[in-house]
Amino acid sequence: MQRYTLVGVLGIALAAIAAQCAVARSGQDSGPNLRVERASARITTQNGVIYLTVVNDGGGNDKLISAETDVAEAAELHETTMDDKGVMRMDRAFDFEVPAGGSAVLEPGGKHIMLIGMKEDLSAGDKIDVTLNFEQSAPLTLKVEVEAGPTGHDDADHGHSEHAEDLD
Amino acid sequence: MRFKDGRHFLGALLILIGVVIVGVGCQAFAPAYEFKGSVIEPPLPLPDFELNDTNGHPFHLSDVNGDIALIYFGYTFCPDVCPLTLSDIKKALTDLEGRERIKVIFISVDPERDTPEILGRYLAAFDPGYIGLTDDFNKIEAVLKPFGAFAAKEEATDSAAEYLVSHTARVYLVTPEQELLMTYPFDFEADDLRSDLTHLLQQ
Repeated sequence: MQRYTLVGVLGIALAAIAAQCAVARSGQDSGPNLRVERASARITTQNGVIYLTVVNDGGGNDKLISAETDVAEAAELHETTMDDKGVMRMDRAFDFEVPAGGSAVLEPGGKHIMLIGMKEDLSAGDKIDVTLNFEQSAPLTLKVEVEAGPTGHDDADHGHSEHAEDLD
Repeated sequence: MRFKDGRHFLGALLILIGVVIVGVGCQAFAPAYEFKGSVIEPPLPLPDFELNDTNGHPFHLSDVNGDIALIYFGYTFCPDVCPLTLSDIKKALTDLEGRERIKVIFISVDPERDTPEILGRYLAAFDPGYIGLTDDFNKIEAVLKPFGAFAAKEEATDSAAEYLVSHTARVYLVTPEQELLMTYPFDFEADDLRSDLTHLLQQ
C-alpha cells in the first residue's frame, strides 16, 4: 500500500510540474504578448519604408529581429538619427526592443523598416504582405497599406491619377 | 428714431467717429505676419549655380526667373527622410493659389546612383513639375556651401544598401531676388510652409 502511495504522490507531483511548464510556455503570465498597430508604407520608384508600432501586452520582453516581404529585394531594420548640426543619417539595426508592457515605435525620422529595391509598382491603397520575426514570439504576418506610391500617386494628389477612371 | 434734441445726435455721432478711429487704428497697428519658417535675417544673396537637370541640360538658379524656389538636397535611395519631405512639400502646394510661381528643386547628393533618368522618374512620381538636378559631386558640394548644407557618403556595413548618404534635410526658400529668406527643418508642418508661401505670394 505504501509503494502505491509513493507512486501516486510522485505522479501527482510530475503532473503538477508538467502543468506549470505548460502554463509558463503558453506565455499567459510571463511571456510577451505582441500585436501590431498603425502600420503604413510609403513607396518610391527606388525603395520604400514601413512604419508601425509593435505593442507588448505581455509580461516578458521581446525583440523585433527582422522583416520579410516579397515586394522588395530586401527588407532591413534601420534607424534614422539627427546630430546637433542637423545632419541626418541612417544605420542598420539588428533588433528593436519590445519591452514587456511597452512598445517599439517605428515612425518617420526614427526607427523604420527599409525596403530595398522595389520589385513591383505600387499605388496608394495597395496592400503589402509583411512578416515580422521576433526573438521570443512567433512571427506575425500582416497586410500593410501603402499611403503613397509611385503609380497612382497619393491622397494629396487631386486629379492626377490615371487610374481614376479604371473602375473594375 | 427721432432725437429729442441736437445733443443726443451729436453724442451718437461722436461715438460713431470714435469707433471708426479705433477700428482703423487697430488695423494700422495689427501685428505683421510672422513667418513660421526659420527666417534668415537679413536674407542671404545666393550665387548663381549651374547643374545638369534630368534632361541633361544645364540649369541655373537664375532660370527660376522671378519665381520662388523651394530647394532640397536629398537622394532617391533614401527611404525615410527624403520621401517624407517631398510629400510635405507636395501637401503644402496642393491647391495653393499661385503655385505656378513656385519651383521645387531637388538636388541629388548621390549622383553615383541618381542618374538623370532615375532622378527624373523618382521625382515625377511626386509631381512631374519638380525639377531634379544631378551632377558631379564636387559641383554639388560647391552648391551645398552657400546654403550651409552638408552631405557625405557613408559605407553601409551589413546591408543590401552598399552605401547611404548622410545629409542635412532642410528645405530652403529662395526669393525671386535669388536670396535665401527662410529654411524649414526636417518634418516641418506642411501647413506652416503653405501659410508662409501664401503670404509671400500675396506681396
